[in-house]
Amino acid sequence: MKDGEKLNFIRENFRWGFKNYTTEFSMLVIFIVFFAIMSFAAAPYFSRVNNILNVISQIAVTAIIAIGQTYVIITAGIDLSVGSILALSGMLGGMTLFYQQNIFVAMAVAILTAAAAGLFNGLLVGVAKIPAFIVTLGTMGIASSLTYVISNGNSYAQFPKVYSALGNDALFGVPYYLILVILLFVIGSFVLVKTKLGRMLYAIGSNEEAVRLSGVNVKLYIVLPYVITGFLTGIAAIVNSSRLMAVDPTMGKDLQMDTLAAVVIGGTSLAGGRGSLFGTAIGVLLIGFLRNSLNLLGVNPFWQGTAVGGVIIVAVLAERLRTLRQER
Amino acid sequence: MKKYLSVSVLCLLLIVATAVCSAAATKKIAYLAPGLDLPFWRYLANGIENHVKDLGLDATVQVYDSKNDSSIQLQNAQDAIVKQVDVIIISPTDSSSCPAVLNAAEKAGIPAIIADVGTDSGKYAAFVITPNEAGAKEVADYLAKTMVEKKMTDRPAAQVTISLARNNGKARSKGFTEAVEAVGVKVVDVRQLEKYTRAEAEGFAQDLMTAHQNLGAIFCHTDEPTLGVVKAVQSAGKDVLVIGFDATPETIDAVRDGTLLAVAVQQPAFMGVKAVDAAVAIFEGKDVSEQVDVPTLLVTKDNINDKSIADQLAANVFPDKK
Repeated sequence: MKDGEKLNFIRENFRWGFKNYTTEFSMLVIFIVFFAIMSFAAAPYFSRVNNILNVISQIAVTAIIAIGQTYVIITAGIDLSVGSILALSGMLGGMTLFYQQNIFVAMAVAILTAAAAGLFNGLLVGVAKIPAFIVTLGTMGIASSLTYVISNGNSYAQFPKVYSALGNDALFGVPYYLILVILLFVIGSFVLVKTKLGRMLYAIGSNEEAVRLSGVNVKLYIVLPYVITGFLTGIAAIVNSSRLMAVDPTMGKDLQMDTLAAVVIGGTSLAGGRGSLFGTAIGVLLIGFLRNSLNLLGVNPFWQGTAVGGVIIVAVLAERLRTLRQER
Repeated sequence: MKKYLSVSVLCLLLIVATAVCSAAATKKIAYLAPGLDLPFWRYLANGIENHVKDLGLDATVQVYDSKNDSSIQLQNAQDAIVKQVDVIIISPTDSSSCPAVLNAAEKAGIPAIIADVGTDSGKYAAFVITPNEAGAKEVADYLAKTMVEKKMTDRPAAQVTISLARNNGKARSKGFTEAVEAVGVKVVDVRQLEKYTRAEAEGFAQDLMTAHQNLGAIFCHTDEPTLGVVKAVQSAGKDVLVIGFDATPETIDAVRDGTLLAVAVQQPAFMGVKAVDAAVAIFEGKDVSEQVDVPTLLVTKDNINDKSIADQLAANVFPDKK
């Protein structure tokens, strides 16, 4: 390839990327502007390294689950049960840890529980054809209630000391959970963009009937994202309990809303068929840093929901205005 | 693109504008409340803020809401630590969730004061607590005395309790049982609240009165549900005596009306005052006693019209923000 061709190739690719990921790019710009403003408004604390690391530790759990949530929403589904599944799998894992003091058994219990719950969701949505909203609403209630049943409303702590490593320790100054989150996002993006599974998710989200008529096993590709979400929720439950070194039945109750908000802010369409993990990552970061900056600015806690909710609406409104202009 | 960029920038500026710009103060106090949806924690927060003003301290208070979620509680603690606050006052969401916050504060060298609930482990400078057993015993003693006067001691008593897995639930139950058994009243039944609502407690009280037809008394462990028990007794038209623990202004009205015999009132605002006192002692380098007891205030139909009770309720239990 000659130099001129190469330049052209890059330019073309960049244009293609910009056209296909406009929402993501504009959210990135908004995030950078927001970050810059807050660096002044909440100076000197906001842009300090330890604050940024704090925020990342705070959003790790949401970020991991948001990967799965993105997959589900791309297929035009929704998973409202992630918070309750996190509580149930975290509680079962935590109780195993409390009674057996064996880290590996406990982690396996947490992940398998969550993946099984995801499979339950997936089969009801994909095979039994019940709307995802209803299925996962039901699972949300069941998982939350089972959490109280097995724990009798109690919380558990006194885990082996090594268990805190994942949520608290660092490798050459980079926390383990951060490495884990980045790894999961890279794998998640690869699967979404480069594999058959990823393309099927987009295709089903755009036009399920067409995919079915072309002879693809649609059921499989509808079940899978829910299982993946469950699996990731199990991992997130481990990160969460490792960070807090305790489990209690109220864990994760805002997670479904947080992950949904992050995915939507990141430009993934609730109607299915479009979205990316890059956008979701920006959404997670924006919500995390927004909440953090409100605390640093000393905003009354009663006002914080208004601010976060306002940003969600503005983000989606901005996207809507853009598509409207395009249609015209 | 320009248009909505400017819209979003405008929004961000608005958020900044709503921020309470705190003037440079020498001391920063952070209060981590477990859930501002419960009046009790709002009163505790008011107590802290008012006392800082009353003392004329050169200090700011920032209240954080953990929304009954242990991970939000830790996030708030991290944010407070980044802001380099001088002291953290915490009412934990749960005694098992507190060590994570205490460890983070210790690492940063920030002293922590626990207001109510308690912790499973970890280092702290002071612990402000209501002696639950003594408070329950005091109000139950008053009930016992009344039952003796009314010759009702042959009739059994029952409890509607908060979670008995928690230490405060166990302590309240123990104090009550000791006091009534001392005059020969049997405690025949216990129902544990799960939702902590009036409706739930009302149902429990109805079931208790059905199961034990000659029931003489019910002790309810917490404020809102107590009003549910009162309502059930009223609708059934039975002469069952009701006592409670903790109060809202409505509970006090119930004592005044005579539908509620007596109540042991925790003093959340006073707990806030004691927490600030401990913080000031830390600032001045003085010794702090590790445990600070804030006793309950016994409110009965006999003393409800006393001025001293009214004053204490206004100052230490239900204070307005100054």
